Amino acid sequence: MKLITHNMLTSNILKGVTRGFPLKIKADKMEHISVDYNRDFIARIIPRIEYDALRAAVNDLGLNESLPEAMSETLQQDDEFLKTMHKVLLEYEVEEGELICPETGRKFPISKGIPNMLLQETEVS
Amino acid sequence: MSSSSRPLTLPKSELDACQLEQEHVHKVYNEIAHNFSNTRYKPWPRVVDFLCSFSNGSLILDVGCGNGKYMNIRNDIMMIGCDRSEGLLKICRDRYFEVFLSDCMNIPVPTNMFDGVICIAVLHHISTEARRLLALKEIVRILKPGGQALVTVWAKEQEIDNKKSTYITKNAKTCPIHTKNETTNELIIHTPRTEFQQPDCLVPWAKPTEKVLRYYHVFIKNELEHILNHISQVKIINSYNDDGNWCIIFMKIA
Ligand SMILES: C[S@@+](CC[C@H](N)C(=O)[O-])C[C@H]1O[C@@H](n2cnc3c(N)ncnc32)[C@H](O)[C@@H]1O
Repeated sequence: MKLITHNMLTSNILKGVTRGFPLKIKADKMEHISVDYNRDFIARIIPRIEYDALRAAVNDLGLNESLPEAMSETLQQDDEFLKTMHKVLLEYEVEEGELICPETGRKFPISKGIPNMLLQETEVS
Repeated sequence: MSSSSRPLTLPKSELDACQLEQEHVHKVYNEIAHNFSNTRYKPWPRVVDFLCSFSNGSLILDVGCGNGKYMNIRNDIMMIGCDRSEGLLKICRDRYFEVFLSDCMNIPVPTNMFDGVICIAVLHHISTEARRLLALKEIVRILKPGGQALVTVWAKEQEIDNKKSTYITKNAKTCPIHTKNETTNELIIHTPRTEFQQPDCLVPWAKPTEKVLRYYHVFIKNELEHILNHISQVKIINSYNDDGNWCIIFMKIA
């Protein structure tokens, strides 16, 4: 699971949960794979990203990447920033670990890079 | 496969429906994952056309992505897949696709998120109309206003305007046709490569073990439109038959 995917996952499908976002991440195994850099693509994706959630994920994982505290229009044109975003969003992979609902603490295991978001019948909202 | 020896019937409750789908859809796809994947590698051209209609940097979700055969059509859009079969998702991971395990009736993503959704050959595995409606509502929820979805399902009619689909012209069999016992709502076993006798049936997966039966609800003409009519915020853009499948493209309106 890449961090771009984490940025789109929520536990809002659980009964009683309103936002369920961002999910906390606990990683037991991570990988770094390189992905071809496409400036135009990453520049178009950035406005779709919940930046604070991404920073929280970087923090959860203890990644040594410096993301400025706030995003800005000028930053979105900055090559250095775009390259960091490319790396953070697309190159880190959580292989084993879990996602944790911020409201209920419900854990969703990640195995072989696949988050398991299936619910029991009784949990469905 | 199925542990029970009594014939299967149409679900009478939500629990029945879950059990039928668990036994005759989800378990089956996990069992046949590799075999299925080896026979499903050719993308359908009209699905590819739909994916090509999005602009660079679009976010697209493939609901019921299977082995991910639509996930690398373009490298300038962000494509994520979800499916209920862990076996098929593992195949996606071997190909470095981004996926998560979830049910299409409860997709764990925010409302108004995606520019596009595809849901190809998935809804015909859901065994009640109420649940098929839930799945379509979920697709509408996650689309952003202005976003578009393509949904395709297997058609009950395998012959349109005197033209037989590939499904029934390929390796046509001359097997006995099963018919339904009207009084019990029993699910009949469909004879592969023949016209469908009933909208709800069990379709044998020939290899590797012949006993594997997949549940299908095959759709009649305009059935997708009828279900979509129950959902506000939907504008139908196009609907068509594509070689034995009913297909619909719709937009979420604000
Ligand atoms: C015929 S395959 C189609 C796969 C892929 N869309 C394609 O076109 O090759 C049906 C897929 O639907 C998935 N599926 C069935 N019921 C589902 C459900 N309730 N939620 C999510 N996926 C489901 C199966 O696991 C399987 O991968």
